[in-house]
Amino acid sequence: MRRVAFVLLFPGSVPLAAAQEQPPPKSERPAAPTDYPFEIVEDVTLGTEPASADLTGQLGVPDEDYVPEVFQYRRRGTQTVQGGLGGEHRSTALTELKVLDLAVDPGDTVRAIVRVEPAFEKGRRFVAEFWSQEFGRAAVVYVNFRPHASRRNLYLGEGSVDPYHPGGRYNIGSTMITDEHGHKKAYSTEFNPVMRAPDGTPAHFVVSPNPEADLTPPTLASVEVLTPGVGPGETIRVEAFAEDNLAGPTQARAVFESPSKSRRVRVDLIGDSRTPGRFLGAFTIPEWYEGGVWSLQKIELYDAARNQALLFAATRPGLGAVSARVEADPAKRDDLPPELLALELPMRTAAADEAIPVAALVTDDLSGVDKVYVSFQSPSGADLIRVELESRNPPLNRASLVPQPNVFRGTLRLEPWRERGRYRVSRVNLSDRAQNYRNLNPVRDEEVRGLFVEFGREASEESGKSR
Amino acid sequence: MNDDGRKSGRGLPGRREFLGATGAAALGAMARGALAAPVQREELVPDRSLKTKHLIVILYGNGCRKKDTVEDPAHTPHMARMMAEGSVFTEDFGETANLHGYMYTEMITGRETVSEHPLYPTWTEMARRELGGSPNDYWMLQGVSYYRSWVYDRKHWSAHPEGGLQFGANSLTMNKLFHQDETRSPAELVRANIEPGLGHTQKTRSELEEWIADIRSRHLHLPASTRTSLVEREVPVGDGQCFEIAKHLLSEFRPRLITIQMLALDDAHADAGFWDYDTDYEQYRRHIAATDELVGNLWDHIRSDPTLASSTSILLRPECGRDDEVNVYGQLHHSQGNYYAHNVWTLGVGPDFRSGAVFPELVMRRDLCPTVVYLLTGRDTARHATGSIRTQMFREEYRLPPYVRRDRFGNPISI
Repeated sequence: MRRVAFVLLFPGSVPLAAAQEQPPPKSERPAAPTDYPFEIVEDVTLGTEPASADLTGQLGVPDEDYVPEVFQYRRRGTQTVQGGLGGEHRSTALTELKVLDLAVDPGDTVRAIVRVEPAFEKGRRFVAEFWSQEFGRAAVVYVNFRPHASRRNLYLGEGSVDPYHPGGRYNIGSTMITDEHGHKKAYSTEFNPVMRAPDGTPAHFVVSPNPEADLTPPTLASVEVLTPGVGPGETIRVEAFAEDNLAGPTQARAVFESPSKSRRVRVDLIGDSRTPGRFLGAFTIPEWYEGGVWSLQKIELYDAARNQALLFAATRPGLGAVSARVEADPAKRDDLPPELLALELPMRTAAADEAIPVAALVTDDLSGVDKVYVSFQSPSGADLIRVELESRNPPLNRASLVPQPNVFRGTLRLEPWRERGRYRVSRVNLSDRAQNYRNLNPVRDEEVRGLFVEFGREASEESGKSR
Repeated sequence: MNDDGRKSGRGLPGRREFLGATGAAALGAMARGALAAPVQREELVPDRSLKTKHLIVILYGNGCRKKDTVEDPAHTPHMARMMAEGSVFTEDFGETANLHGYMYTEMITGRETVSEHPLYPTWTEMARRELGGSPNDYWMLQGVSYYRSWVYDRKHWSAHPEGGLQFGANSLTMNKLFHQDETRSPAELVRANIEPGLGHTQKTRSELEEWIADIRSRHLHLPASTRTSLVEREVPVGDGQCFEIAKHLLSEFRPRLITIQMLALDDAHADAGFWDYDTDYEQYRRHIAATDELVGNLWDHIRSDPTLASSTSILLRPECGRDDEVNVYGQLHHSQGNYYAHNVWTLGVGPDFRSGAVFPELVMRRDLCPTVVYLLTGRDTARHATGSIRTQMFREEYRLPPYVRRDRFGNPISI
């Protein structure tokens, strides 16, 4: 059994193993507001088999044993390893994290620096949330990291402590990194020791006491549709008034829902600087949507302290009555998604650095095709490339060249770090201008099944060895 | 004792200690009510003897909409018939809708957290501390140990002084214990999966090993076939196994508490950043249909046993819901601000609940923990929770006091 160690910070807390045998000692000093009041368990597995993932980032693990993040959900023994894959699929692992500004005042910037291994090929930002020890996610400081200009292993993070953030300790919480493949990795203090301060507690900073602290969300004083009846395509105007105790209301958003509740329209309400607390919205219901009474589904308010009030009509009496009657032409109503008539992959084999043309023929009954995406999944599933196809005419000056709104073209390319081998079509996604979506998947839909491009391999023919 | 007369030492620091004098003064300047709640809730609901002796809590997945379940009875006919027999809350709110590791911890501890691993006692710890019993009376089941960046098999205990591993559960992970390639002996599996310090005796450990051997030898971990089949992937199959295992645990151990955490409902957007797991909204809907039948099977199993029928309850609630809309890529995320992501349902069936009752009033995710503890112990002892016991769902003749809705800091909100 592995040794279980505890960092004792809260006065009177005792090692777990000893808790059953002896009463806790009495406090000898009052707890400081910066103390971390919980025990840190160095190893929550307590000697049992860890989760199927290696949560430390698997630094130093050879390719033959390294399991990329995308395969870590599988049980041990069936996980694909890096050594059997083409391309590079090591997650970028945090190896060091240090908060540079340990004590800050409200309104200050807090900085942190991290080291990652391996360096990113293409820098992607990542974010760490620091949660108030006392108020949890009601008071969060987001620290956004950006890559160093030349030292690609280093990232500098900056976060703003609002003038209204409460004082006290802020501990690092959810930290999410996305790499160049689009893979995600989350870090947390219990499973990733790199997230801890030198004293073993979660990495943190302390905000000085703040008499101006504001954790109270704004309240809605009123909301009204100023144009209760509109014709097709006419603008609907909304006016809302919000109140706030300290920081002052800054933003408002609303969602209106169609009579059948199958459609929603988001409305950004813009603050009227001349009249603090007043928000105005102006929007139209798309001509392809149903007519009738469109009702307020929710209104969302923020204050300058980033406190949020979420007010849903379902639980807030009266809100649902805020509505507009919209006239619409039933003949224009479009509830059907586009249809895929053909998908063309003229080249089934290609060199690794070759660009592969992809074409699709898509039709729509009323509003017209808007977006076409074709996704390709790599042999092991470690990579996915989503190609957006566009409807454009080639640059030829001919009288016969009229627009072809049903022909969509794009190009599939592999970046150097991606796996080689057979990329199969894993998804085709279509939308029209009425926001009707069709999602085709080869597991269910025959028309996109069995389509692939074979890219020249540079390594193994195998899609992946298992361990 | 401290100067305010409270005992310091084992418990968490009081508000004044925690903030220091300056901090407390600063709080005094804030709007009254927002932050004035005590850290530890006073007892509110009187003790009473309840009929529930066995409880199954189903954390219904990594996000599921009521729109795809209780608002769509044709898609979930088993849940629909259970609703008719039990109590349902239709506006069950959670402030956070986007972080699984945060949300499940909030659910099982009944309060906000700053950590994935519980910092406050879980419902398992509170119940076991109150009721006693062996580890074989308390179970936590999940299909896999790690999925989409979150760890799921380490949540049954905290290091809190009022909890601890000695009040934890046997945490069983399906793909670590029950699969055809597993060659280790039951004793080795127990050693690899069950934490030392849970309080097993030689006898209870032997019983556990014998049970695992029996399950494996008779392949009892295989999910029952359903009209809509489970998707043949590790995570959904693991969910299905949990329901099967729960039936056998009930029959064999008559445990006090089984917590099942479903995970595969996150298949609604499982391909987002995890390309190997290429699933979508339609597979999520399929998993709902398949597991609805498994939930129904479990309820039927309970009702077919005369002893269990009169003494067993089920509570079911998702961690969060999912977005109002499927996106253009066929994914259904769970994002802050979406009505269906924040507002879900809770279903309760069993001998202590009202029958055919629907409660449309707003209730909170943090309520589930004190409700679980009360249902099992008959005492309002989840003092760390900032939620309240959902008294309205209990039988009328119990004459429990009205439900008290609380904000995230535990302050009562006038309804």
